[in-house]
Amino acid sequence: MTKAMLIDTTRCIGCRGCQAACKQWHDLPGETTHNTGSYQNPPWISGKTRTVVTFNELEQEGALTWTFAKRQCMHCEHPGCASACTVGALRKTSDGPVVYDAAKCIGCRYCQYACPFDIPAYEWDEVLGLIGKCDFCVDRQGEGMEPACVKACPTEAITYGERDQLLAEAHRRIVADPTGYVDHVYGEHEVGGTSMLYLAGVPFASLGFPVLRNEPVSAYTEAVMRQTPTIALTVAAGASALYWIIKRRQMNMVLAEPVAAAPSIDQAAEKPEEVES
Amino acid sequence: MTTATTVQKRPAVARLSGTNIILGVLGLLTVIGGAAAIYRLVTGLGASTSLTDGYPWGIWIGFDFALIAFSGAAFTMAATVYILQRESYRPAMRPAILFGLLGYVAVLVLLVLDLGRWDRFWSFFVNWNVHSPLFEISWCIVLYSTVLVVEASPQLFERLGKERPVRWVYRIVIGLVIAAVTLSSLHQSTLGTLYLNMPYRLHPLWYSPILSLLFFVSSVMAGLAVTLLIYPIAARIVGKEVDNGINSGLARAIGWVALVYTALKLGDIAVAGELPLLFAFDRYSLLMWLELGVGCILPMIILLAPKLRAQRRWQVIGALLILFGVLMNRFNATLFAQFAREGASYTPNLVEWLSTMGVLSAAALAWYFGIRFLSIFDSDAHAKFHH
Amino acid sequence: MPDGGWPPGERLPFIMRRGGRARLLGPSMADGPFPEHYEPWESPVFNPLHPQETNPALWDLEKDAKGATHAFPLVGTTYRVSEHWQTGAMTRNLPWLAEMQPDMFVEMSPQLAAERGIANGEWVIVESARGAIKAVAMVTPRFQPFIIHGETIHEVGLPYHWGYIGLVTGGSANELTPPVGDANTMIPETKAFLCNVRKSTNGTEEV
Repeated sequence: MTKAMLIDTTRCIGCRGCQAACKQWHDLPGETTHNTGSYQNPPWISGKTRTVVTFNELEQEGALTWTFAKRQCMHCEHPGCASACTVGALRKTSDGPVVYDAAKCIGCRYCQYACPFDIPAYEWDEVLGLIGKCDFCVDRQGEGMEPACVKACPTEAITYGERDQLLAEAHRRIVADPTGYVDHVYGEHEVGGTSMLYLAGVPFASLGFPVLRNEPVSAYTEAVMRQTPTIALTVAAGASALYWIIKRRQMNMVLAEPVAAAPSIDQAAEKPEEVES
Repeated sequence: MTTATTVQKRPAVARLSGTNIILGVLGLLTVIGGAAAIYRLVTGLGASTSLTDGYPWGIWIGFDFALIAFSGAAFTMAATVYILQRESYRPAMRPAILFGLLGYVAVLVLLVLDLGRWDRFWSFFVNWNVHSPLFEISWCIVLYSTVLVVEASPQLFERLGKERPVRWVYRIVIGLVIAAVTLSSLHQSTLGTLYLNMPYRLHPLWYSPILSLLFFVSSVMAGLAVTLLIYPIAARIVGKEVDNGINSGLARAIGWVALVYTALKLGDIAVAGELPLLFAFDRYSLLMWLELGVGCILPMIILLAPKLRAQRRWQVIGALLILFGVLMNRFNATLFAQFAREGASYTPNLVEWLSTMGVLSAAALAWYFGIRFLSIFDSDAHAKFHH
Repeated sequence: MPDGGWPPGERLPFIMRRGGRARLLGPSMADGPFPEHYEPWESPVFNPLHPQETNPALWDLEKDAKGATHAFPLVGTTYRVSEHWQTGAMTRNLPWLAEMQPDMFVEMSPQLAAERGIANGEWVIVESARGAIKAVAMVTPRFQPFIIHGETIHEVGLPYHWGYIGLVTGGSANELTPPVGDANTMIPETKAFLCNVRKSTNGTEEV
């Protein structure tokens, strides 16, 4: 059974206890930041910041709402990053977390391109940098504890449990308060489903969530990559066949030549130059 | 058709000739580039480049991918001579193979510069992910570079007068070339597959299910175009007569491959219902017009016209336009035609430019000296060893 | 038991008062017994209830450091953010908190920002009769101008957590606030005063 988290943005008060708890649990440093006109800081996920609360001032039916959304790795069911990783450093576990093996990583940063949520971040400031992203507190889960952010949340905006149960709870909340929620659980189906599920009272796109289809990011790629052995064999066989066919044709031409080209004694007498061709 | 090699005797004292000026500039760029590369390795990517999470790849990867396509010169010419058995093209093959070999070495150096953990570049040997296009590309490049080294080794051994290694290579040459064609088909096409992992990031005019096929066809086109350019240069370096039949034959082949590519690309755009995007006259459609119109259709017309492709000037223009088109294609897919996160931008900085120019200059220098001092056009030696 | 461990009945509950009993108007109270509406010491409007504008018994430190509306037309107030505490002497030395709220800022309505040509995120100078500080302008619809007696009156908000020492530093809002306080408790009137905001010259002006 796969674990998941339900983040109900209507309950979030933007206290950022989750952001601090994540830093504390993973021993991450504070970055140098500047206020660029928003409470949101650091501006986005980075090599040293695994989760960020976004601050969104939105107009909802003439009224102003300040909606906060905690963003982090979505721990997709079919992660594009894991499919793309050159050395298989990223891996979806059966328990839910998409884990990252720093020991394998070569820092090629292809995972950054394969993630539709713009999550994997590189440690640009390190001389030998690695990728950083939320690991769903896989070490805490291994000891039967909930992730650090879940524990820190004072309003239980974040809840943690089995994915199917959280989905049921999410839909229950929507039904119980249809005007308070947008009728959509983000992450239920997007890119094949994610372990991070969201509820909101405003359209998800206005909170910066990308609009995505239901098929996994790497569906096409994996279909093509599966053909690699077939392609290799076909090309090798085709090239070999081509080589032999042309070689035989050339050999046949060479064999046929002397018989056709050899002049008769009369012809040689009449046109001596032909013999030399 | 081929004449015996004549090597011009050069004076012992270096003259300030045009060639020497070029070589001097290339040498200077190599040294400066080397310093920039060392600076990058010592200080880390953040300190030495303009790369960010919004644009994690830049000109190193752009030039890498273009250079891999250009280095298709090696497998296309080897296939022409050995698989298709068009002997008349043999003189153009060795310069192409040498170019390919040095091209792949340059690709590997640029790749090491780009890797965050370049100290662990060997990781993909032991850590496998068969779903990953980059994994397959890495393996194919390593294996193919090995094949290239063996394919090119007669150029060295013949010059050194070592008969045995040369005979050994020629004994397995067909196997080598089939391996070369197979490995090349795989990684040239997989370079296109790589972008299939970015369905939301790459503009729809470029994102396509047949991206792998398009990348492979364009690598054939680029490889032939490179050969068309460098074969006469190699001949001139060594003082050998150029066979114009090779040139116009290559030009015609490029024209036909460009036609196939254009048909595939336009057909794909039409089938996907993306023709309106092509005529949107926004930044993306203009990039595509540059890449496909100026960089493929225009040279295709030039090179398919018999009167034009017989002239050296139009051969060069056509080949350069093709290479421009393939370069644009790789840079568009990697940089210009991508939807990056809001506020992201990328302008390569001095370290990136200098290190790239340094690597390319070093490869060009190595190619020049290889043409001069290795056995490139020595048909006597070839006849001696070829079965 | 209120504030102590003694058994019930032994002491009277109002332990802060002499005798333990509450009073409506007791000794040493400067103001009382019932609340009255007075305008703040610095106010852009007149007291609508009676001619006495401000509390005559208020505790004041510097009588002449008072600003007038023509020079300081905006209402200023100070408040807190979750990330820092009081004047930030502790919290601005914690990396995770400093990262979340690094700079002193001033929140204002989009209407005021448009009037002054101030863009969200740019450095501005906030000044009052007592001093001036630099702050990052945070333009937000959460602030809206007041219409009082037909006049538009703007309010700006200042968190008071910044100072000159720490991992992150910034202007102290209390350099602007008035040196007057409640008549009984001397709690300063930091929540309502007059100030002004302007763009900083080429973004780097120091105050």
